[in-house]
Amino acid sequence: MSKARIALVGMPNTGKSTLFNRLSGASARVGNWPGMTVELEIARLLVGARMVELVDLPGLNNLHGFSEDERIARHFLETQPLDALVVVLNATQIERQLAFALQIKQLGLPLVLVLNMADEAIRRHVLIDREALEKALGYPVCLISAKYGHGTQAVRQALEAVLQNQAASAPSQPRATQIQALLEDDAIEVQTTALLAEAVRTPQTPAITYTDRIDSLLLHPGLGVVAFFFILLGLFQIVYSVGAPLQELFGEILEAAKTDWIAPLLTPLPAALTSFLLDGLYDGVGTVATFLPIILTFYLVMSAVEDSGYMARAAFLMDALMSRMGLDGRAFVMQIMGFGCNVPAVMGTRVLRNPLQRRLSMLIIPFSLCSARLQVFLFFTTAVFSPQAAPWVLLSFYILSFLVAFLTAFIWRGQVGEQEPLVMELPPYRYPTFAYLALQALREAGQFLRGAGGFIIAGVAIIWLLTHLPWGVTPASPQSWAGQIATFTTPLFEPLGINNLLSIALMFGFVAKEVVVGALAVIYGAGPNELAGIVARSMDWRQAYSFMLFTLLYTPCLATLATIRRESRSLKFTFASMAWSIAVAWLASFAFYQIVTY
Amino acid sequence: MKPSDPVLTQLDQLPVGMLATVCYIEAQTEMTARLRALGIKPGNQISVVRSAPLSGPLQIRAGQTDIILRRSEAATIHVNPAF
Repeated sequence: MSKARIALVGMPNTGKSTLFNRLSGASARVGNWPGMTVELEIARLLVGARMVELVDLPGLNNLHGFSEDERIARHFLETQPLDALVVVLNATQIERQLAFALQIKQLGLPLVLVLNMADEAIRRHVLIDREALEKALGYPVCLISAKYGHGTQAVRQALEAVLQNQAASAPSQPRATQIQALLEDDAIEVQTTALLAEAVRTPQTPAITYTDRIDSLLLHPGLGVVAFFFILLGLFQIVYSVGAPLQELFGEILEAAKTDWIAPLLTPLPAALTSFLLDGLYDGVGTVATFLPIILTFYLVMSAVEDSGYMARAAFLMDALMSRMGLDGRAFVMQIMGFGCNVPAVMGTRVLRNPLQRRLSMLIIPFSLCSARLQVFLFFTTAVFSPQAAPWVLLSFYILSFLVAFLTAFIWRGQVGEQEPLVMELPPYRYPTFAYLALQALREAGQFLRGAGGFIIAGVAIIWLLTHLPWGVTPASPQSWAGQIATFTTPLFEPLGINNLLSIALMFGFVAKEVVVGALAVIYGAGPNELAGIVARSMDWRQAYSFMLFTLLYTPCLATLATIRRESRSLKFTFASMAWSIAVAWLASFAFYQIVTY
Repeated sequence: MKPSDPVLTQLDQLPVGMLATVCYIEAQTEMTARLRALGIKPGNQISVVRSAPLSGPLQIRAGQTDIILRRSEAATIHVNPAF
């Protein structure tokens, strides 16, 4: 029997993706579609004896919505061949969502109606007569809880039945025009009211729920904002105190494997080749790998924030501030998470559904002072500044980081175009389930590997070549290509108080900020214990501050750039964002150094 | 009901906690459709639960659904307060 294709459709926040994951296990992958510019998740599963391709469409509010997501979903429904649909509704809100199901029914495709969060509906005294609905609709209706996996077996059986009854329908012109015809809602309205009266009982006034009680604190105009910052601090601490040490440990293990196992194996090879394989390729792969623990930790935490319903609260609390910069409150959360690591924060901008808003957010996240940059600053502040001054210097960089980010957003907010209205559901609080969070985190890590891995490895290899060519020079010395570039760009860096040796280190910093200090040790030919002394003797506080300022702003690491490219799907935007940050860095360091040395 | 009806008020002016019936919405088709999908449509009862600090958005309750809406969008919704 031929393969069948089924699409999952539903309003936002109905648990559609949770059901998708329940049905597909971990087999989902991202697929491209002819004539569509976006990737949609698809999974193959066996329904009865038939192979089914299940497609997860973005959330729709109705069939003639105009948001980006709605356009994508509608375009898919209009152009792709489909055998059946699974319509997912939030059972607690069946009163307003049933009309959507009736709209979808008009497409003429066989469907299964899934009422998710049935457990929550019962708690809220929303009572649904499944059989009456089934009879009126003429299609199977399933009451399920996708989160706990209750009832998903029934969905499979319903699908099997529906597929057996129907022959595949090819995409046809009629379906597109049917959608046009749907612009008349009135008939559906009448139908919905009748159906609701027959099959659904909802309480007259919604009961006071535990969500209301929690919100009276968490959305309180004063205490709520305080709580928001404590929650952010907590999230940041988790990512920082669990993810960062794991990243370090992982790095050390890879380093040990390199010196103890792999290097001895390669001894028969010529020295130059060995160096390229070890310091170029292996370190490139290592850089990619060390980001995995932090991405896993970040997504465990962030999915918990999303699934619990707090993300929408963050948007509510911070919108007044962020809307003035063309963004909404969710972008603020990502900005803060960027202080742990820019890479997952850039991936996290997916919560912003407007692509232009996402880009604005991706433009400002790289200014967040991530933990890797912090290492550089800790080294320089201790080496050059007095113990009394050092903490203040560090604080000034945190403040500058915010300032530059907000200023950048403020300058570019016009590019977002007319601001999209904020119309968002505030879901009730829900317990996230660990298994689901873990699945999400693993999937994100996999996507990072596939999407950004190659780009990062190539970048590391290029930097290796720059610092090791021409053959025979001392790596990263003024005679190497990197050194020659540094000499060539001297006129650019001199007014910033940054010398040639430091600008070579900045080239390393392009790969990852963690390696800047190590690169300096190589460049100065110093052991790890002597480096601080040499650095302190070779520059004054102005030069050190200017160098750190440049390091904070000039470009995020290669992994962040690779992620920006992946997420924005635009090399042009990636380079534009890099050019912007380099320009900002140069201007800031120039202004600083010229003023303090004047 | 006519737009000039004196009993009507805009949603952003509705006191917190007071129930009101939606009369008409003065927004683009797209926005109207989106609000309708979320349960804000003529004839439905809604209320303002709270407002965010610094003239931030409003939390609106429509049936079993809570919605966040900026004040500027709330001003396009004309309601008839229940006394």
